[in-house]
Amino acid sequence: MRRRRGADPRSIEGVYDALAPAVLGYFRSHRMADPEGLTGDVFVAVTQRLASFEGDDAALRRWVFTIAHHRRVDEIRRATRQVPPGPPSPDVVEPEDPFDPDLAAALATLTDDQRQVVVLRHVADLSVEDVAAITGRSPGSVKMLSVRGLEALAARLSPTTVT
Amino acid sequence: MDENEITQRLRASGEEPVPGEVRASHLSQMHAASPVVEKPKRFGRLAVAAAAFVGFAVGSTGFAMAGALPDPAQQVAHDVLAVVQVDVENPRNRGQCISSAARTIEDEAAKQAAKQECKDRIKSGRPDHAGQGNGKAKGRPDGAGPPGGHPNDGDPCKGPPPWAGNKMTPAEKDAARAERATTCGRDIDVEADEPEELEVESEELEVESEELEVETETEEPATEAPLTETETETESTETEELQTEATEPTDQVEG
Repeated sequence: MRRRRGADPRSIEGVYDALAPAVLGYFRSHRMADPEGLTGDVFVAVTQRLASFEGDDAALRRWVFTIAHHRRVDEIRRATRQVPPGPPSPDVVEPEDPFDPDLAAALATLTDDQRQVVVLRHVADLSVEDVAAITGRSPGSVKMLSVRGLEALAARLSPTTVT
Repeated sequence: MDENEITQRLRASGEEPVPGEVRASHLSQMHAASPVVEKPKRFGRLAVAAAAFVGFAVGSTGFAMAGALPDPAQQVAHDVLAVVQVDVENPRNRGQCISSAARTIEDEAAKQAAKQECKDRIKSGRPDHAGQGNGKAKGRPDGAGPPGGHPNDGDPCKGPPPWAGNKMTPAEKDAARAERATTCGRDIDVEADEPEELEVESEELEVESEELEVETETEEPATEAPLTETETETESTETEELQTEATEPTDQVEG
């Protein structure tokens, strides 16, 4: 776990510095509307419950991504209940997304289950068992979804593929 | 593109550092949301109560060991701690001893010495005027008399008569009674002659029992239904009891 120098690993800042990039990448991979805001929400929740948490670094990572997963699900449900916004004004300039645009486009072609597993497995760097625990699937199912998702990404990102 | 390259790109996307302003914003939100952690109390309520109880027990035991408690409390401590084989000073009316010394002795130095002797005597368990008499201070049956004697000391007309509590032969008792009567007059003699009163009472009881026997004998069984065996036994038992009552006081006097 990469940590900022001098930060206590179990302090609020230590946990944030260790896990915030992966959480932000998780939300960006899913093309959430406000990945920075959602990341902030996740770490506010982590801060409120960190005192009662017990476990090692792997357990902490799994716990943080469980919160992130639930936050994403809540956000999707909230977005589906809201009236879809109108077309963006041509004057509004979208901020530049630092996320790999090709990769983001390729991830968007996966099924939701494949994307969920691939992102948790490789962006969040969780084990198969942890992904299975977070998504409520069996480890075999996680492995299968991960393999198929990677194959789809490879096919999508292959240089021979001409769009 | 192979799968390894894709996983590396995916992993790299999860390691992109959070922009500085975003990080600062998040940290400020997190600090604002962090729960106020109450400093855990060093000692719980139960621990404080237990410490207070232990302190009280140790303190009171210490005071009791030093004999510094008031007499009633010292007596209680003596009785309670004796159960667990802890020997603490028995007060034995130490306060009475000291106050009596303070009342009766004029000289300040002698008074202080007498008070100290009170404490020492009680602490050592030594009776007043050790080795003399029955182990009790003169004039005080509880041995609480001040050291150096009671105010009645030297007055043969006060306090219990010399034959009280002592094993004296009847001749010696008579001699002592006569001497006390001569010295102190009739009042003391009457007070001391309680056994004679007992003799008079026993004589009266004998007379009564004789009368009862006579009454029992003079009853006419012909006018009444014949007594059953049980009733006859009951009556005879009553008569025996009356006889016994009549004889008991005499026995006491004789004894």
